[in-house]
Amino acid sequence: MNGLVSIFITMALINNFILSKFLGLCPFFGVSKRLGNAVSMGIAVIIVMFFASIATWALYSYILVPFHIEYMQIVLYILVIASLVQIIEMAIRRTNIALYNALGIYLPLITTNCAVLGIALINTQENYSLIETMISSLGAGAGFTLALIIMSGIREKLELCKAPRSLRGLPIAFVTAALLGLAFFAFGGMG
Amino acid sequence: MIILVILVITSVGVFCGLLISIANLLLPKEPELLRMAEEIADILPGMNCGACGSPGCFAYAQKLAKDPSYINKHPCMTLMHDEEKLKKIEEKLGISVERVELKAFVRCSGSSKDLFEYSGISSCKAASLISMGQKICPYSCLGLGDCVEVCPYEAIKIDEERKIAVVDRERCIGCGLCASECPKGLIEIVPAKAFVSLACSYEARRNIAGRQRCDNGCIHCRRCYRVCPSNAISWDEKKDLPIIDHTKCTGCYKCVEVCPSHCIVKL
Repeated sequence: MNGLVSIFITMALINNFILSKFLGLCPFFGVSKRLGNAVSMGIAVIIVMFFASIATWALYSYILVPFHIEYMQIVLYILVIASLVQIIEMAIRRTNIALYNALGIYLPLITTNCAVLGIALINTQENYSLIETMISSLGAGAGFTLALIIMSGIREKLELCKAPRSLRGLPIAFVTAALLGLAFFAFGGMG
Repeated sequence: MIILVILVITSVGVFCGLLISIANLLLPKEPELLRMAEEIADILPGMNCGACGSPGCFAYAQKLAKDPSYINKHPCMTLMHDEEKLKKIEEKLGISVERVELKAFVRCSGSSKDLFEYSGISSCKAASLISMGQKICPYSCLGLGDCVEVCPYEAIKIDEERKIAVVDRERCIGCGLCASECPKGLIEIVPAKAFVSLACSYEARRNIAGRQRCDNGCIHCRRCYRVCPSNAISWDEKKDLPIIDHTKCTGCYKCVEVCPSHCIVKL
């Protein structure tokens, strides 16, 4: 139990996907302009990460290891994740229109997101069991959402500030992201 | 060895494909409305400007799929410029779409002097909170460009000389985003064929005539109302301003000639 909690916290804060591992940076800047969008994106990432890591765990332990073709994992992971997201999208669309409207374009967008592929590869690297895989993917998703929400909150306020003309928009967002990353490095001492 | 790898990858791929098609068969059918909305969304411009009042083209298409007459209440102004697509939409919805062509017009001449120097957040909404803005006239355009920010077509600009917003009629499609953005409600959406409009929004406040606020303000003399030969101008007693009925206006420009403060202008 203790191990699971520490995996969750490690994934969410210490090894935060965006701010410490620098994975999934495109949505970090692309969808962090408004808080509402950031929350939708975060939830979509959590859902996809969770199912993708379960699927890739099964693929790794029941197909790749028995056949000794672990080196093909990236190719197969991409294949499996992409079709999995297709199925999830189809299911949400036909059963719950409200949820589909909220997640909308974000679900297919993250099919090939490096954060999703990253969590699958990290889980394999760490040799996690199924339960540990599920917890670590939830932790990573939560950390991703946390970073996205913090960033969008700051960027909403930034729009009202008088930044120097050359820094307006993305440049000031990059500076903010750097400072945010520094702040998250403080969690490194906890490990 | 290589053959094994190829075999495994192919079988995983085929398995994934099969899984998707099985899921396709097992899951309940896509709601009819959503399918319809998707077909409509294919015809819509797809630039998600939000001018129709819906957050994006797909949301608009969903509303249209539910109620086709919605298009006449909240027309997509980008679509109005594309007759081919309009015909396609009519076919799909099964109703006729009213053709409207509208343009935005800023009802201010910008002649009002500054009351104080404003150096806060560069937004009309923020500036208008302080004694109704930095201009003497409380109905003056503040020229800080909230409407410029919101326009998806770059059709509205701040005139550097007069420090007010000016609409580029070539580019404007009359979507009305700027009109709802302006904190003072100065932007009016007029038919593209309108001949004249009132370039002042000064409502009679404590009987101070507009001219005391600026050189081109409406002084509420009612000369335009009396001179109009086709009864196109009526008088708004509450605001003490003329109302121009663009359907009756014939474009004789008598009101423009007669206005003592030149605030009725040719469009």
